[in-house]
This record gives sequence, structure tokens and C-alpha cells, in this order.
Amino acid sequence: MKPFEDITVSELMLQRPPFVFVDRLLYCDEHRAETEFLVGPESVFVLDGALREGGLIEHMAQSCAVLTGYVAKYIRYRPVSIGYLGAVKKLDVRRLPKVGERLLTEVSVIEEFFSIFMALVEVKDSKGELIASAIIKTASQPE
Amino acid sequence: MDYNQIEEKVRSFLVEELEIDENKISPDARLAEDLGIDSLEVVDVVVMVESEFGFKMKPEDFKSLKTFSQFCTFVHERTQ
Repeated sequence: MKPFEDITVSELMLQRPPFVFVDRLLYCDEHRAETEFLVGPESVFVLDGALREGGLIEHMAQSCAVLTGYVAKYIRYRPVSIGYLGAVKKLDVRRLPKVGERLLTEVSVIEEFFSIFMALVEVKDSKGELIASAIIKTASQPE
Repeated sequence: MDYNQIEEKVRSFLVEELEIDENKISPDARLAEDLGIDSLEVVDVVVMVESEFGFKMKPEDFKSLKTFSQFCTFVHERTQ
């Protein structure tokens, strides 16, 4: 299996710059994933030196997309399908991350049913402090 | 767990988690058309059934479950 450091997120999800909010996949299996994202000054959704809520949600959704893409491609040997953000529940934003901060995000799968995927997503800073969390639901386009 | 207890748990879930108007919930209320449970919320139902009643639903289970009472009866039968 390909080492995580050799995997680019562009092979796991269909979003392309400048609308990419995940830099790297650090770990992934069928139940959980860890992603990384550096908040850059040119990032979409950065305003007044901080990533706004919309960017945080997009980062969480894309972290889910990376997990489902990895599972499809490297575990189930299926094509990476188009995914849609279906719902965001129990969103808790503790603070807005500043430009230059590195986000370390854990996706924990709650349920996968048909083509609907539900996960708890926790975004932390490099000190391990929680920045935001939510339950994210995504829907995949059937093959 | 008897039928009434199951019905109460399901009703609470629909109201508290899916934010469905309690007044719309009746035995004959249709899950999709009347209560507005869509495909995205079905996954919440699956998670609730597994955590509250201890079994995992399959996609085909939903084909024959059209109303609130049918759903509660299904859960009741599966938990006996």
C-alpha cells in the first residue's frame, strides 16, 4: 500500500485550488482519518488574518472527502466518486484559526449507510487544543 | 422493552434529534411524506436504532417501513 506521505489529496477528492482546504493525509483507515491544513494568507475564506467559519466547515467536509476517497481507492479499489456535503450538525467553533496555524483534524466515522456517510470531525491546533468540531454528513454520487 | 417504551424512545428521537414537530407524529404518519425524513436523516435513524435498540438496520429494511407505527412495530419485533 502506498505510504501516506506519497498520497496527494487531489487523487482522493475532486476539489481543486484555490478551493482546497486539506494539504495532507496523515493517516487513514475505514474508521478514522487524520488530515493537516496550513491556513495560508491567500486561502479562500481568510478574512482579517483568520479562517472564517465557512473555511473551517469546508476543511471538515474535505477531510471527510479525503477519508472516503482513500477508502474507495486504496481499500476497496473503487473509483473515487463525487461527494456532496449533506449536513452539518452540532457545529462548535471555539475560535477562528489564524493565518500560519496548522490544523490537525481527526475524522471518526459514526456510520456509513448506503451512499451516506456520517462522521465526527474534530479540528485541533498544533498544541492539541480543540478549535472546532461538528458532525458532518456527506453523500456520494452512486457509481 | 415493550411497544410503548419503543414508541416513546422513537418519538423523542424524532423530536429532539431530527427536530420534527411532535404534533405531526401519529401512528399513520408517513416517514418521508409527513415527517420529512429524507435520505440524509435515514443515517441518523440507523445510528439511533443501533445505540438504543442494539441492532443494525439494513437498507432493505426501509423498503417496507412507510409509517411511524410500522417503524415502531419493526423495532419491537426485532428486539423481542
